[in-house]
Amino acid sequence: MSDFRQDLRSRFGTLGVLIIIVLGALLVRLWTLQVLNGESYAAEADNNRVREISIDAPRGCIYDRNGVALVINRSSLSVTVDPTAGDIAELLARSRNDKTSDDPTSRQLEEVFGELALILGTTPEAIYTDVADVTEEALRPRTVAENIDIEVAAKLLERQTDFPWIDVEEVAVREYPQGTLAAHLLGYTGTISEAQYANSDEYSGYEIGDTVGKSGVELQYEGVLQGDKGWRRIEVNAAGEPQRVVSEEAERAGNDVMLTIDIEIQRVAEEQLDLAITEAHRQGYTDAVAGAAVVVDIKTGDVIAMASRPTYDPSAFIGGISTGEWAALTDEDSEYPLNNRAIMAAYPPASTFKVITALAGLESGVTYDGDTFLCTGRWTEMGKQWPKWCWRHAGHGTETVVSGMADSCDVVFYEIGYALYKEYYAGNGEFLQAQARAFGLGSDTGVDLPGEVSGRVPDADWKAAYNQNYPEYQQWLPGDTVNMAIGQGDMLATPLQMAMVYAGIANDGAVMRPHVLLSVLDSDGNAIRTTDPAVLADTGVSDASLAVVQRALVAVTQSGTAKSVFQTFGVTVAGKTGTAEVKGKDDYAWFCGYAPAGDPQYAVAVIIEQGGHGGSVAGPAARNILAALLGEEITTVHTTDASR
Amino acid sequence: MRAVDRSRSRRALDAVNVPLVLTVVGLAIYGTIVVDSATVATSTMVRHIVGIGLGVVAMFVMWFMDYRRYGGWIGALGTLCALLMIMPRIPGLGVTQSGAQSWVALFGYQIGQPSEPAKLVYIIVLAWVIAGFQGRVDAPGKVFKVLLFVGGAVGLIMLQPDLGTGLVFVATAAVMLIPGGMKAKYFVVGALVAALAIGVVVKFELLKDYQMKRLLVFVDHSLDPSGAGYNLEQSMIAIGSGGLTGKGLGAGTQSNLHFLPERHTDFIFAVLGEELGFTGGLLLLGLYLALLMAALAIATSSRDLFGSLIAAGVLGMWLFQILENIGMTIGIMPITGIPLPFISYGSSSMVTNLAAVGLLLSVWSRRYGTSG
Repeated sequence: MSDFRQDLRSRFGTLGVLIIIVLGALLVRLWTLQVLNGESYAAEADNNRVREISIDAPRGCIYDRNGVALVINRSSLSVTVDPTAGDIAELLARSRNDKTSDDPTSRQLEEVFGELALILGTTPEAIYTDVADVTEEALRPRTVAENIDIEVAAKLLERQTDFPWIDVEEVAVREYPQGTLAAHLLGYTGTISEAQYANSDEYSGYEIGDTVGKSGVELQYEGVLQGDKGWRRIEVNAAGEPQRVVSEEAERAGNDVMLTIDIEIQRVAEEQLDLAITEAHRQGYTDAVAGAAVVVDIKTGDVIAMASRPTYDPSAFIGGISTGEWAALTDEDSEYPLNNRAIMAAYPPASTFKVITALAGLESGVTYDGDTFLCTGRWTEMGKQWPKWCWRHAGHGTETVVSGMADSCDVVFYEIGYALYKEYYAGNGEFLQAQARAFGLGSDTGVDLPGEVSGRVPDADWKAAYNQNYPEYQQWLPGDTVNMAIGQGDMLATPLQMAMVYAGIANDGAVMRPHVLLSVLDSDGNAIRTTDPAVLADTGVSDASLAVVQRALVAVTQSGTAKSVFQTFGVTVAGKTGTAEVKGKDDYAWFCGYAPAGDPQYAVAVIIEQGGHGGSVAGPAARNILAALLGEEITTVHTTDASR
Repeated sequence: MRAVDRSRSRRALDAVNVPLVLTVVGLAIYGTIVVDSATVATSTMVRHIVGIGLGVVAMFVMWFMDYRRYGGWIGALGTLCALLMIMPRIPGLGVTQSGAQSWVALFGYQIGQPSEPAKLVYIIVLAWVIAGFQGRVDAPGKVFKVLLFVGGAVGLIMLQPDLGTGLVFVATAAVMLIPGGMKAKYFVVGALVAALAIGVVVKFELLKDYQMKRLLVFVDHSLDPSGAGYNLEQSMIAIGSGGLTGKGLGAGTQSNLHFLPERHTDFIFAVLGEELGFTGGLLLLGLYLALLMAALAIATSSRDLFGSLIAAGVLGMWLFQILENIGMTIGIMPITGIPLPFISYGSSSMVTNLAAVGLLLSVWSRRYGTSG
């Protein structure tokens, strides 16, 4: 028996050890979980219970240089549905599980959303689609109707007890007090695309569904206009029902910006483009629908006006554009109204390019002030088998550089071009191309707008590369330089580039960088950032050569091809008409110039695609834009002048 | 007179195992505080207190009953044990809850889980069976007899099915067989048989799907992400986030925002861990250590093997339930529905555990061999 007791004692000892092992194991595990890894579990617990809801910040407004509102925000009434409310959450839960047989039927949707759909003038299915949008944050109320009438809102609020899960919210949407004015320059806004979202900086706070700038200033200054979102951190229970607000961070509205645009000049520029198109039609150029006009301050590079035709209505994009409207804006036959032709379209500059040819000739020494040329209408210097015609087949007789510019005599510039070709052939350099590039042609002006194209300054290398599959067309020929000398051939420039060429001539050879941002304003309206005028290109052209060209441009409006246009104009204008030949199309009408000629302030460029003659279509438009700038009377000028 | 008085009061004091009673009082208070924090409804609290009251009555009944008399009623007790286990299967009595019939109800009122008191009856009957071998379970025939009894009890409980109680039966038997004198080699054989049994269960899918998932999810949390895996995940987040000192009573976000399932019953430890932290857990384990050591002392003190085995059985039942319940909330044991002794809300388990204390006191107060 004592033996048995002894045995029993050791067996109880074993039990004691077992107790210690079990409790010890639990204790060790608790130590690891709570003390060693406590912090990461605490973070997980927070992650469990706290949901963040973002609060959109209003976008900054856009003003013109005088503080006139161009784009502002207006509050719009929108209807949202709370996806966490009982009935709604149930519908959503059923659509989310794997069983499609569980998906709500149209009868059930009718039951829940039928009444609401009737009031909003939509269908229960459409409302359900918006509510079930999985790209939205789980707790964020879903917008099911935007821009509703105040009467509809009142009706909904009266019946709030029937739809406890809806809310009528005021949201800020874009408003355009100036209508479609400057639509291309200002741009439009829209929902962030997946690509934009994927490319955005992760700290920028963008979320799927956000409204962002899509074009123009709205896109260029997105970072300035877009404010900082506010956040509300909400504690939820396991069912996802909000319990209380843990913390809040107020949203910060985007900064307002002030543009260099003068909306009154912009208005005139757009009216004049429309009138020019009408005038082109009157003159028989019925295909004219498109064009552009640019006005810059020659000393600062401020873009005073930038217009493009055809145009569009940026308010069509508020709350999402319909597919039909979008198709109409992007259709091949639409002439692409969304494109800002002032910077996105490159045209042959035609005779407006002759200023470059003249400067290249004068600077390289192939011609000089007072040099004379004989125009018989037909020019055969390159050989009888390659005759070229002056636009005036009857010929201009004896011309100088200055009178040749005034009359836009092609022969004068064929001669200069041919002489420049000979210099190239002799290996002395491509003076014409160099002069064009010196004024910024062939490369971006760097204007602060998206989508600018750089045009083209053709040269021997370009031609060889361009025709690499056609060896017989690779050689740079005399005709290439001669055609380029009158702004034809492969030479291409945007209206803004041409405006900057004339601004450079007016500004004694210094081309300023064009820009549309004047300043960024803080919430008190103080400028926190301004654009300082900067020189884009110092052309290095001698004052003497510039003086010849400046004199020639005045002669154009005083006695030359634009004489009838500027007859009644009180201020001396320097300018040049141009009529570009485009294969398979009617001629494109150009006018470039600056004023006042004696103390230049503004440069202007106008083009009407397929508008016919520069002198009679683009010239009057430029005249009236300058009239608005200089306080002259705006008049309708009809010239039957067929001069170029 | 004075001498008699003194001897009487001394005998009365001798009849009480003071450390055991103090520990149980501490645990009951601790449990009440945690259940209070985990629940909102006052009715739950009332029921919890009523459960303790009933348990105290049961404790006194068991205390005054002389455990040695049970030997004479062993047939009746065996029958009672079987009856308790099949009661929930009797039509009109049983209630199905979360996939198993573990509850009985009369006239629409849920009365309790009879498998809880069945554990005590099981311990008494098994103690009698093992005690019959005089401290030497050293022959295959004896082992087989024990296995037959344990296997029968587990088989009956699996009719509900109540896997948790089944595991308690097995673990309790294993603990009782240590002082019962089973040879070490049979423990090894037993472990092999258990492994084989698990293999058979898995192979022939004898368990219900939800039971399989709950059992295996502690190995792989992703096995049942919305069910048992979610429970375990949330439980570990709750306990881990409690840190050293906890978030404070009533301040547990996992518990109060309902991320924790079964938070006042099976997962009560997660609430304790979240709100009172490591120190709270340490205190609880300390109380359990005192409880188990008191039970061990009582087992050691008994003059007969039957009393020792009863005490060892109660010890084994508690030890396994503590290991299993806390273990499952911290991811080291499979998830089964076993309450945490003296802490979980639930009258059946509270009454049973306090009755078990009475059973221990019955053994303790009769350790001198005098008739009771």
